[in-house]
Amino acid sequence: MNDIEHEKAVLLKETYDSVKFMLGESIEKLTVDRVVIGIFFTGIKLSNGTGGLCYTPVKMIPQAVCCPSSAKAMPNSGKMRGKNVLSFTEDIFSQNPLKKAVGIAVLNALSETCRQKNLYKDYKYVIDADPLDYITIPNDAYTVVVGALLPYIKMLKKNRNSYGILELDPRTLKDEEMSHYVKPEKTEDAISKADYLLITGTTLINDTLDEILSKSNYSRTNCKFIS
Amino acid sequence: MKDLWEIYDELLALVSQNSVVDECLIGLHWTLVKSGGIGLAMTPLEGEHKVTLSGKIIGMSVRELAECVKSWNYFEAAIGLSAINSVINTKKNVENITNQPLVKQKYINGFDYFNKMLKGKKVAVIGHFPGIEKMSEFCKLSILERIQQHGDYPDSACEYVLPKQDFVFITASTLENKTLPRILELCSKSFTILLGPSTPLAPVLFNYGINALVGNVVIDSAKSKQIVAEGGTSVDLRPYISTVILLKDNKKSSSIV
Repeated sequence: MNDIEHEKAVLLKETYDSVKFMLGESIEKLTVDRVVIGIFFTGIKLSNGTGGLCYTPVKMIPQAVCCPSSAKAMPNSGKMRGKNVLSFTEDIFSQNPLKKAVGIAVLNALSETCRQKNLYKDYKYVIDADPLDYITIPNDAYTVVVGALLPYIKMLKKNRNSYGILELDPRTLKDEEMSHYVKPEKTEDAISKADYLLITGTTLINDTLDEILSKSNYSRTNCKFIS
Repeated sequence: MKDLWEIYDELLALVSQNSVVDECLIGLHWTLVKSGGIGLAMTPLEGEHKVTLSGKIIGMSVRELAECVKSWNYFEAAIGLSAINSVINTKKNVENITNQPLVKQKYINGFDYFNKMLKGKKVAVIGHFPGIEKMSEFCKLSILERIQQHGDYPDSACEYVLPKQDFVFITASTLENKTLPRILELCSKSFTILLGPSTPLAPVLFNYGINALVGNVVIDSAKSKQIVAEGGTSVDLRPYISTVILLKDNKKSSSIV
């Protein structure tokens, strides 16, 4: 295991432990058939046919300049096919953002494997649906959107909801959206006030999810998390 | 300035209307298109993060896709250049041009090939290629790079730096961002070399002031596709591609593989 920062990745660790426990020894027979690190998303396919995705954190690659300096970014290129899944899942704790993205994509495929095997007993699965098809955000609720999740921002705007946007790279926001941008120094305050939190899964890559959840008001029964 | 698009139109004229795209992969460092052969182009580091053709590329006419090289969306331009290279940088085409068999041999660095000519000369390199700093031991080296590393000139310095050079090495990704035509004008008195896996091995480029082309032909397509998909760099690709050097001054262009 390398570069572990478990205190920041509690959710990832618990998810990994849970998936590993549920799959038992069968996980040792699973290999990665294909990896594609695209400019937007990273995708993997397992030997059992299931797939997993993760956002490619291009902006987090140190010195993403040219071949020489970014060669270190993905040191296993050309050597991934056929490897056991466990050699990737350890990377969910890596500080190398690309290795971590591949690891999370593998974890997502393993999670899908658990679903296909009906190993999740306490959850109801709805396929081909949008989470907000099942949740109505009241007009008087305050929502914080973590990440530039444009379809949800458009929806909140259309419904005239009160909302704020947390985004590490505010350059991705348009002028109109910037009026809802929450400055870094106001982040904690906004999260603690939120009735609803819409959180991008990318927070798993940059290790901010645990912190966001810790700052939210868990005890409020009406604080909903949609991630 | 000459017509910006003339050089692009000349390249496009080499792409037939008949063949179709079998595969397209936009990897972290390299963009790959497979048609008759496999073409590579550098995945851009900047520009609008949007590829409007996603999901529609396989089955497209290679010529139609190649037209994207003229797009100001750099990602689409890279796909277009890869499409052009998938037709031009093939084993068969290169063997026809060079009249030599293309056989995979030990990797040859394009810079090393010209080393003897560079001693004591003013040399500019556009694009911070791996390991080029050591060239400053035997020549007066200037590196121009859009995203500067220590000691590099910014790309905006090219108007002042390039006209004074004896030799200029130019990354072929300048075809994607449309800076190549102007760079070639600035280098009209220099010996210019267009290089990198994005380079179309098309002698027609010699008509635009280029003296040498250093490009690549994919030899192991399966392994090259895997490396591009897995975020590999040109260093990772080296064992699976052949380097080809075409020289303007030779009546018969020479090849090194």
